[in-house]
Amino acid sequence: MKYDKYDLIIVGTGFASSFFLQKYLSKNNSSKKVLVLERGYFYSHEERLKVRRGESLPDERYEQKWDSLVQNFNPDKDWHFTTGFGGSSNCWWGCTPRFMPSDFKMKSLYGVAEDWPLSYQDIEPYYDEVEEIMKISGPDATPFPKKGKYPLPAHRFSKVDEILHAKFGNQYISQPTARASMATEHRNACMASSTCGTCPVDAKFTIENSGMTIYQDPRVEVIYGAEVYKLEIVNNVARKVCYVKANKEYTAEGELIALGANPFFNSNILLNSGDDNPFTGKGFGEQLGIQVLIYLDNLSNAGGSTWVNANGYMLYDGNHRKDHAACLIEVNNAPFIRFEDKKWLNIASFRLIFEDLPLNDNYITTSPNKLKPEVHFKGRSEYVEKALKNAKKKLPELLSCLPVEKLKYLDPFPNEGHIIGGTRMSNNAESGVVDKHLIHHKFRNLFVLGAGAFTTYSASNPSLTLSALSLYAADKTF
Amino acid sequence: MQRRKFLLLTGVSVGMVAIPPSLYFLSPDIKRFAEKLIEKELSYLKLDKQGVSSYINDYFGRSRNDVISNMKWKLLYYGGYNSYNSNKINDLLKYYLLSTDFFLNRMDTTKPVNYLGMFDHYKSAIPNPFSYLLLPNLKQ
Repeated sequence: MKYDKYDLIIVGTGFASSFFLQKYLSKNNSSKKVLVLERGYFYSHEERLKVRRGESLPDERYEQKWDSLVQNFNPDKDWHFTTGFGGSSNCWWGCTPRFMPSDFKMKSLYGVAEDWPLSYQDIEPYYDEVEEIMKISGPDATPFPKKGKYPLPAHRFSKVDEILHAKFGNQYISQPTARASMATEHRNACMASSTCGTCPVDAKFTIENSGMTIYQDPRVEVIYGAEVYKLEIVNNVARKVCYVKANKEYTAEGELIALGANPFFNSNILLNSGDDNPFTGKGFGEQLGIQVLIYLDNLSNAGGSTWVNANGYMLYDGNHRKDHAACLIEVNNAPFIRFEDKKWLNIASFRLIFEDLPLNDNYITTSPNKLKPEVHFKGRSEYVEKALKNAKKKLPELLSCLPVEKLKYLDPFPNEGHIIGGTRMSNNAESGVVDKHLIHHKFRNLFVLGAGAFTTYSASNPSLTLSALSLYAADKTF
Repeated sequence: MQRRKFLLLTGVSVGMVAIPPSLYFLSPDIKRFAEKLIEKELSYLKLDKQGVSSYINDYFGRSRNDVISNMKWKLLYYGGYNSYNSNKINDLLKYYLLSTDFFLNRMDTTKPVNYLGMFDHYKSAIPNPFSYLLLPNLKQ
């Protein structure tokens, strides 16, 4: 470490940390000292790609398996995440729909769970800002309010998409996505390779290819291999960050601290620090995803230009959310192929993604190993189970404009790649862990960033929203 | 389960018990039944037999070739399973077609289907046949 004390210490280098840091640096003077502690290492896209193509490289050792980093007590439930520089931007698939305004008002509109302490209107300008930085590709008309166009044009529809868009208008749109529809300064155009974890052509946004220069800023010092496990708290002020690097213990002192690790590690750090908020670590989870294959007669689904070509909102908003969950439809063209003569591509694939509710039975807690949180996921709510039944009932009617031969539902996915909750946002400490600026209710110099802060889950993918929240929190605070 | 399918499955299983397991390590069963499954469902295509054989060798090259695996593929074949009701068969056929020039030739069934090498998202010429790069969104 260069200094004895820093103005800001940030834990993690993923979406939440990077967008927070971006705004912080833009609003503070050149004398600020920032320390970034990253538990993983810099493992470039170029090296990852070589490994995917069969080479054996030393940096492979940086690919840690998620289940070696947490203790998962539910063998039927996976929680995939990536550690290292850029965090989950290295493994996400680049889906960036905004949340719907209703997602922030579940209690007042539907009597379910709690309202967020902020509204869609509050973070709308920050959605715009993130979309510009990520160079999102998207359509002109969307089901959520949006001023102006997306930075890049929408991806191409398949014929199936065109038919559904003609029927449902802005309830069926080209998916807003960080998979570029055309080449940008730092990325290539998407080739619809249908494997986005490590994009074969570097078309999706990552922190590495973002063009953000925050980690090269002279005010910023980055330490890799720093596994943060605790904060030293004195009189409700977070003073120091405790971490292990190469089996040695270290502490770093900061005026402000921002936790931008994933919800498992953020919760673990808070609980190891003596946080006694009853909601810390509680109510984490994610959406439920189920794939349905749509067999079509005499209609090819070819012609799209990215992995998820479209999003359907036909089962999303409405009074049904008083009883069962919203469902976002992801229409993808990952190669599900048919083998009957002339019907090879006459198949579409909907991934039905259902929001779930935060349940206190699903919780993160500490373990005897201070670096390794325990993950206890007991199950899903009835709210999502009812929604699945409803979707199965409604889908044939929704698809009546297509020459559908049959539908085939696949087994639910063991994960959606989203970890949400654990440090939920609220108006006060009696109903949550952080306030609307992502500041801990009790430790007022501590930010807890990321999807852990979501009050409710939404059916939409979380990365865009958690990035916008980081910009919002830093902009309103500094 | 249908009675006929049940009898077929149990018949095969009983038959397997009578054969010493060591024979299965030497047996080309996996290859034979996997090839048959491909030929059965894609009988309308001009398949390159040597290519199918090479594909099968590559496909199973990294997986187990033991009694259990042999039995599973035999059961799938004699049990009347197909690409619709068996994920294993679906994967076998899917990766076969993706590993050939079938989509490169724009699904022209008059041309022979040649094996190009095991499909790989990061190496194959056609990583996704649904992409507009291969086919526009024309109605067939």
